[in-house]
Amino acid sequence: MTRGALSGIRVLDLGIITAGAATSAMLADLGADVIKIESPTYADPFRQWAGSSGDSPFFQATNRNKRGLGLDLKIAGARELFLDLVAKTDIVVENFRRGVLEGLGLDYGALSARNPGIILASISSQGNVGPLANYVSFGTTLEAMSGMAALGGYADGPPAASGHDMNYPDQVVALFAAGMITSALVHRQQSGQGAHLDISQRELTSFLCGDLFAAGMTRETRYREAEDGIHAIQASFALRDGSWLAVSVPAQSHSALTQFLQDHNVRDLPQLFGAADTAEAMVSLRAMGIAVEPVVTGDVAAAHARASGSQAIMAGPDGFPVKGLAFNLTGLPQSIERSAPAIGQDTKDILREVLQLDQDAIMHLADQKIIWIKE
Amino acid sequence: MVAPLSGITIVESTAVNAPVAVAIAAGFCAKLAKGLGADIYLSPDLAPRSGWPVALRAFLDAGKAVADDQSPYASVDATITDAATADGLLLPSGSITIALSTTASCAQNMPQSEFTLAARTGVLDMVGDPDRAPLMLPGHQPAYAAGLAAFTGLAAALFRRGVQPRYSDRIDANIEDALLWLNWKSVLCESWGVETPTRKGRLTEWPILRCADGWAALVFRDVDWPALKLLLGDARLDDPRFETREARQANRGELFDIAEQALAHFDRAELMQRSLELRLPIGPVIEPQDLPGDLQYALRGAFEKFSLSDGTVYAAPRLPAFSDYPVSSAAKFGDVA
Repeated sequence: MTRGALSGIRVLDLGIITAGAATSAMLADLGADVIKIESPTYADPFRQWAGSSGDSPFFQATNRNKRGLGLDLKIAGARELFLDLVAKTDIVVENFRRGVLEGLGLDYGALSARNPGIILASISSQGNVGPLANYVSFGTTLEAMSGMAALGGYADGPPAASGHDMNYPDQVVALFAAGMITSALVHRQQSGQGAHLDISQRELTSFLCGDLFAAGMTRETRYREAEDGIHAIQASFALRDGSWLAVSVPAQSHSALTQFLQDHNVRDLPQLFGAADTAEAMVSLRAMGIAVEPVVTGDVAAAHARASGSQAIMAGPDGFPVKGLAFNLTGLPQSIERSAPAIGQDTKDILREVLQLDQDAIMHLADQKIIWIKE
Repeated sequence: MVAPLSGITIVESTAVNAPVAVAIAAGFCAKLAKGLGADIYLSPDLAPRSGWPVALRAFLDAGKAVADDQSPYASVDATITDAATADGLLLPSGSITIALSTTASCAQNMPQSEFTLAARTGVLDMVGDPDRAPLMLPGHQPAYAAGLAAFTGLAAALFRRGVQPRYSDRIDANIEDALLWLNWKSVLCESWGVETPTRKGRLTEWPILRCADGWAALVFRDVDWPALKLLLGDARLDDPRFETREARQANRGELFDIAEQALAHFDRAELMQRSLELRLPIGPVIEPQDLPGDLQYALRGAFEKFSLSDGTVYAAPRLPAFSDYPVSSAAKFGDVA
């Protein structure tokens, strides 16, 4: 990245799968030099997701804009090399199982002894400490244990979670963690102090339901979009073809809607949408300030996105469709400039650039299998 | 100890005619900044919150002040507002504007809500039964996601200003993009030649099933299958119909029925303990009122007391911030007029 709000910042990316890797990718999008560290004996599991051959599209979509360093942290000598890199680095991102970093001798104490200004972002399911710190959790586990699942679901059905295909807690933590890491950079500018960020996905998921907790909401009184306290009507209505239409009627439009239904000899919205011309009804409703959208699947959403010029999905430099940007800066716009790296793709360049190692020193490390160089 | 954004002054100002979803996103972005030590002033021109639930106003606005003649308006570091208002603002040197909107561009004149944006971006399609109305994630996830995105942009701009003192910028975030970004797997599948997922109700990969005293999310990977069989202890699960991933997928309904019968013998506390021992990612469904007493949350101080203007006290989750920084406590709603 040649220019960006975080240009000049360096990140050692130990993040894997979604939470850690997506957080680092956001920092890369902002212009940081993000170095993804893997080895042939421990690669990001996302490379092989869902039995794919070659790097999975999920890995490629998440890890664009990064450089690749092949470094086996379990090999004797690797720890010292990593700490040499830490001395020249601003941020380390990790979402290992709790205890892994300590087991490698790379806990915050070790990192900050080498670089007092280092910001270590530890992203975990349940938090860095506590009796459940080692509780194995995925997104749905956390929706269940955070209160979010209990607050959702049909009136006559079980609690509900976004599930395996969306994994809301895994996705949203990257948006949060990137902001917290960047805030830590702001503080370090003023104080010179680094930080150890203990980011719990479970706690974040609870926090994102904070207004419902403040309302004293329980499973009995759980969330209903129809009763959000803001809209007069908010619901999905079935169309004759089996699809659904999402409708939100603000309080100030309710009387206009009532008049419209009367004028068209229609009893209510379900009857309106059961009629022949839903498209015409949508135009009329929108003219009254009522929000109406068909409920679509992801592929149709992608078509909407491309038509509206959304940057949320983009093509990488090789044309491969990847995750895009959740926001942008006018003066220092973000962009996707690199495809996801292969393991060790940039090892030589990184070691020359960051540690000023010469060719002999690099090859010596490779002979010891401390580093991996992709030929 | 100093909070990371201590000394930063931000004005929150969304226009009267800005969509409610945008006002909520702006309020949440400002709440994050407040939680990290910034001073937040609500502009006198702020769209009124009178139609909002009291709890939502309290959650978003706790600790914020109303700007008046004595407010340090002249030294504002950032303004959080809607995109239309931002279009009309001049950017003095060193100031940052956060501009929030519902959609990216051409659909901006169409009315939108968090609910309809979830429909438009495929998020609403992801939860619920395939033959019933889809289910929305509870609360204000779409607006909060945009608020999170906007906050990251704000923090990045504040950092940049520390490097380049006269740096000014405008950060644009919209709810549609935030949702597409969150739902990226579903949105990109077709372009990769992968089947686009959709809601499957009980036949989803990880269902929520009944247990003795409530519900539990049956979350497991293929590698967890032996441990899960051990937990459930039902010999029917040794049948070849469940032996491989493909077989389990094909017989998912029957598998979940058997699992639910087995889970009827476990309460959630037992399930949590056994899952911890067996390293299974099963998620007991915990209700909100039980979370302040949850041992993990209690030891980590995950909740704080929260007062509404009528004196009612609730426990609400605090900003899950840094281990090195103090938690910013939620002030009484009465702090905001």
